[in-house]
Amino acid sequence: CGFQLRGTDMLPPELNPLLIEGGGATALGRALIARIPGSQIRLTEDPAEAQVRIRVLDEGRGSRVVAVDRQGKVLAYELRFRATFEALGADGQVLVPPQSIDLVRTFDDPDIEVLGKQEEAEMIFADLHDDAADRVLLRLRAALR
Amino acid sequence: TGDETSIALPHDATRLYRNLDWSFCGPRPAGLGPAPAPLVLDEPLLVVDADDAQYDQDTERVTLRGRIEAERGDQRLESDILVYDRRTGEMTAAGRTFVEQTGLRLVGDRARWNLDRQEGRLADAQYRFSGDLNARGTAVEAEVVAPRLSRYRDITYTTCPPGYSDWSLIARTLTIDQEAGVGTARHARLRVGPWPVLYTPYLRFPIDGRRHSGFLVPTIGNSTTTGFDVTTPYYFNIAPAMDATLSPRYMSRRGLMLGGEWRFLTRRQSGEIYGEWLPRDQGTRDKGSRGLIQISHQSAPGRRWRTDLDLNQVSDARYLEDFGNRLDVTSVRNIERRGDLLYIGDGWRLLTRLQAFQTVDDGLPAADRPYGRLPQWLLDLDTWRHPSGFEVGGDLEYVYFAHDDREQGHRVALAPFMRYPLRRGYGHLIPQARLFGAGYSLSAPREPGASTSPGYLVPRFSLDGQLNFERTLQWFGAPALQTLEPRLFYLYSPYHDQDDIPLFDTTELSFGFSNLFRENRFTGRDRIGDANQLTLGLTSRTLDDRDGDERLRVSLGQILYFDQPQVRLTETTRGPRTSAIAGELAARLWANWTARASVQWDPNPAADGAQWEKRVVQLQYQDAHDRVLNLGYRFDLGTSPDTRYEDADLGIRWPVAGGVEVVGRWLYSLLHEETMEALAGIEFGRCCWRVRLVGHRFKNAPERPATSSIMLQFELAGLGQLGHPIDQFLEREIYGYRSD
Repeated sequence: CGFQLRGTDMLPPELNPLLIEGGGATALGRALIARIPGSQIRLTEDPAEAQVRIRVLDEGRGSRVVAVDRQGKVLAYELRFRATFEALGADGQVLVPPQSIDLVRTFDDPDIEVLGKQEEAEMIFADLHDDAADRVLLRLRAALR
Repeated sequence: TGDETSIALPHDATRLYRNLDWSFCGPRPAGLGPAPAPLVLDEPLLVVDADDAQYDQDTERVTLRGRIEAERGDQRLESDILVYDRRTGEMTAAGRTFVEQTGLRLVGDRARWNLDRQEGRLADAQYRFSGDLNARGTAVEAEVVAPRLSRYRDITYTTCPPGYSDWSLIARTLTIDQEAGVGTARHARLRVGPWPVLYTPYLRFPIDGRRHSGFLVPTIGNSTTTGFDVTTPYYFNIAPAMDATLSPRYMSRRGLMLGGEWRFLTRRQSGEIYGEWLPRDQGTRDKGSRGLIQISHQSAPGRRWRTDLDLNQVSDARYLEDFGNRLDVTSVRNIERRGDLLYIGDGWRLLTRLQAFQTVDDGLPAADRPYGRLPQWLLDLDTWRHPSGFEVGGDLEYVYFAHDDREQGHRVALAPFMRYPLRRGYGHLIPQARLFGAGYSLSAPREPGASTSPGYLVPRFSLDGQLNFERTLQWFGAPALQTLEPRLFYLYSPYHDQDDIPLFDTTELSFGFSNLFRENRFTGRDRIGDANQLTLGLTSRTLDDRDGDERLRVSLGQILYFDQPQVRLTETTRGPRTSAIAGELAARLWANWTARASVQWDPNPAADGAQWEKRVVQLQYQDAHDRVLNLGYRFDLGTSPDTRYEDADLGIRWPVAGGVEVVGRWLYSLLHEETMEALAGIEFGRCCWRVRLVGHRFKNAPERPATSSIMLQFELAGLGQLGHPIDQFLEREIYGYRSD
């Protein structure tokens, strides 16, 4: 039905190497870096060498209560991750103008098994970071085509 | 002086407003960027133009008549008749005179001005500030003392645009210091419409975006639990990176509470201390003192060191229920006290953590209260990568789990792994092997006769594979790329009896699409789930071909069990061969609409179970005109009747015409047929004043009807400052609400 296997490259090879500004200082930056091993994308820390620079301009997480029991005690939260990024080419031209990604997930947590649920919340945030990283790469791929 | 007629514009006052707009009232909003800087010339020349000039050589005076325009640097003076003294530089104007310098325009009579020294005075003046401050008014006498400092006598002052005098300040004297960014008025009366409402012998207010000590916008309210409720915060601007706020709050049913906040920020650390103290709570029988303290501090004392402190303590378990003003605060059962110390080595990180909790829910049995980690040491190795692509990593952890009412214990756990990831545009394949090991030393056996030093060593193997197919198509008239991403995840782990081990930090993950691909169905390290299972997942995305924006994503997944999982937290009967089906959907329908759904449906539920386990549907509208509409429906079958919920959630922010804005949120439990939280508010005003009125009702405590409250805020642009508590409150309540 018209579907074809995508090519070998996640990004056009002439855009190697890639610089993620701030590196591991942001959760989105870390998720992007974790996407790279095993692929043919090469990372650099040298701005002079970089063909593409991804800048995470702003990111933040939040949570709020969305369901309570009859006593008014929490049953579920909504976890939110929001990030703004842009991508620049080698000579500073804008490849992807500043874009926001806003992701939300419902998280069931009656606030009783606190240690375990804290870990699960961290897993969900890690998923949201991965999801955001996927979207950054897809946007970059569309912009470079 | 100071009455309404003097604000009316005489013919030449229009000169004050020519070619200047009034796009904001009072201090310039930070979002507009800085105001144009004054023109600075080294040797500014005086240039004078007039219809007629007569020069008296004896006195060195020039008498100018008709359309006089004098300019020097950024200053300008216009008049119809004036005498200019060449020796002193003094100009004496007889008629109506206009004077301008960067940020200030004046019109008045009997002007004496000196363009060399940039000073002078005018009588019966009108003035208008622009640039950093939009404000205007009248003065019996106006005097410019220095380029950025002016004084006025018997004045009116307002930040409302010309033609409007919704409010004004009437004062004996007014000093505007543009260098420092403050205005000071003495013997000031505040008039709203025609009515005087307030007198103060001394008033200091900010005239630009800089922070200054002073009163913040007060909040007046009434609530069923606190009675009449008024808070008048006072802000202390201690240093550029340090401030404090003192918030006395009077509650007619409780007494006088003192709230305080202190914040600082330096290059290496930031901190915040917040406290509330009610010395005598009139609302309780013993009239005891109650309070709350929150301390948060982060620092980076060295290149390799990080610290993070988060301490929360309340005087009693009902404190948050009694004084919290939203569901986010009153619904929690436990509050945290945690201190972290992190050392970042080359290729490894060591975390030292002390963590404990205060339970603030009296209904929670002692045995259900959380364990503390006193301490936790976690050594995390960065993934080491061989040039061939082979990766190795892992972690090692020691924890002492402390509890007042249950068995306590030491645990050492390790989890090394190796994998060989292969990632290409067309998909990925990641084989991974991991070993889980743990040893315990318990204060008491979990069951009589059980070991006090249990342990396990469990290997695990997983294979994660995904293929990416794609095709182009037309999506609502635009070219789009549609992907099809099938994913297979195989997991194998042998069974190991772990019944002797207490549950310190372990809980079962809730079911959901992303949890189908987890390596362990439990959190923590007290249970390592046995598995011989295959997850089938399928995701399809539709991407806008022009910018790669995701327009639609649909995911479906299910687990096939080749062997039944035996490690369980609770006794259950043997389950079916397949899990429930989890699905997710996210769509951007039109420019401003987004939709999200996630569902869980079990084809073979337990005898008493329903087929639908979870349904979440959310719809959001958000546009560039601050209009927000959120509609949500959430259903969860829960693991027990106590954790079941079904609710509808509505949120709205809608600017109506004429500066009126309505806000609302309604969280309604369909299961209990009860409103859990509701608020409705209206905000209206003009550029130079705003009124916010918010009614709020929420279920804040068990065995008590919902609390109702009403809050009122009245803000005059240029006299109050900084953020408003109501704005922050609405930002949390209405997803998508952002204050300016």
